[in-house]
Amino acid sequence: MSPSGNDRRECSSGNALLKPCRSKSSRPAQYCAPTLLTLASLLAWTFHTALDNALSAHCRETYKSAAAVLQHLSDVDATIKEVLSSGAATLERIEVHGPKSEIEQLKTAVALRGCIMYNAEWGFNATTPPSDANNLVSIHPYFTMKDPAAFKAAWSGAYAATFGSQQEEKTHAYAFCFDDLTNTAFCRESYLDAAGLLVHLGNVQAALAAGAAVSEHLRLEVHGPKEELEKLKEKLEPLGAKFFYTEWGFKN
Amino acid sequence: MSAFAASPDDDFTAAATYIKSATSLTGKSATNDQKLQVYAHYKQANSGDVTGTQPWAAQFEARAKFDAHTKLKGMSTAAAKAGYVAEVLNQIDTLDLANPASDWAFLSDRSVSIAPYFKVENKEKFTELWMKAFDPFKNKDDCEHYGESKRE
Repeated sequence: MSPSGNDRRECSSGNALLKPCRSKSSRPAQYCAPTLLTLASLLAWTFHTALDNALSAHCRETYKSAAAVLQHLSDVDATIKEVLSSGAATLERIEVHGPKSEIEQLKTAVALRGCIMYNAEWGFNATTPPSDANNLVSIHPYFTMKDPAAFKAAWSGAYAATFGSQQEEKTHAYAFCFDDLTNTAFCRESYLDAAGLLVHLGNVQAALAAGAAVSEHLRLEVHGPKEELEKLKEKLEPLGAKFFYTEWGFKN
Repeated sequence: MSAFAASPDDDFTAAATYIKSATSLTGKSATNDQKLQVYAHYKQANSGDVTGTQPWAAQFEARAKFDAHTKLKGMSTAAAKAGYVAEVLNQIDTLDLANPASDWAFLSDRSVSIAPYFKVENKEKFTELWMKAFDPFKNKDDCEHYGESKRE
């Protein structure tokens, strides 16, 4: 599953160096979730059932900064340990995406040892906040770059048009991220609904073709409410997309 | 254009817009010193060095602002803008500030997402444990909830 091999799948969750929870609550540390509201802008659990009925869960979560990520990991440390020790689930991998200045602050975090870290090189968050995030759809394309410079040129060349189309495409967030260790590219992008995503896909056909000439498609996931994802199946199922359905979460 | 390589001017403008109507999610208030830091850097960035005479001691607020601005005398416009942005970022972290109207734009240059993937063996137990961890904010009114975490 990891593009970089098994050695990077050993994500740990404990980190004694992290600050204790900032909450004044007398509850145990794992119940300090109220601080989450001050740290995260978005959190949603999504689930995918494979053909063999294997169930995967993903948490789509975005934080203000690297410091906020570390605080959150500290807050949920006990929960992660309980989830793993109870046998309820095993951890497949953790990815982290963000601007290089923030990612650098996370590289030494014990809690994120072995995780795959992507530097966001260009992108934006919508200047108009989403009025209703309940239909939010995110698409997670991964590419193995055969020629990183040419790949980046193809997609960065399309960026101005993508930025300018944010109203039409109902963009919530968009960021091209790279793991230079493995020459893996990932675009963190989300739209207010499936229709917006479809408009975006139509607008980037030229970049897709140029990028495809210098890369290999590695993995494609789509996350969102079931009724929205149904609208995408005709277009994305033939591309091998995995569909993760949103079950619960919040937008701050 | 890229939010990850925003110019100092973009950052300054965004920070000013953000702080104008930001509120603390945990009810914290800025200290006088924090307010003066924001004021002084903004003033230095827009007007340059302080001019005029120091207000009377009885004019507490005017004098405090004048003195804070005076401390930045000689600071370049670029440095004042950078200092302003740094102070706003510091207050966002220390005061737990949020601004629904401009969160997404302003925080874009620092936002980090984490993406954990689990192979689930027991969904009921898995969900129970995570819902328990998130239970305290389940009934909060200041955020939108999806699916099973919706308020009753």
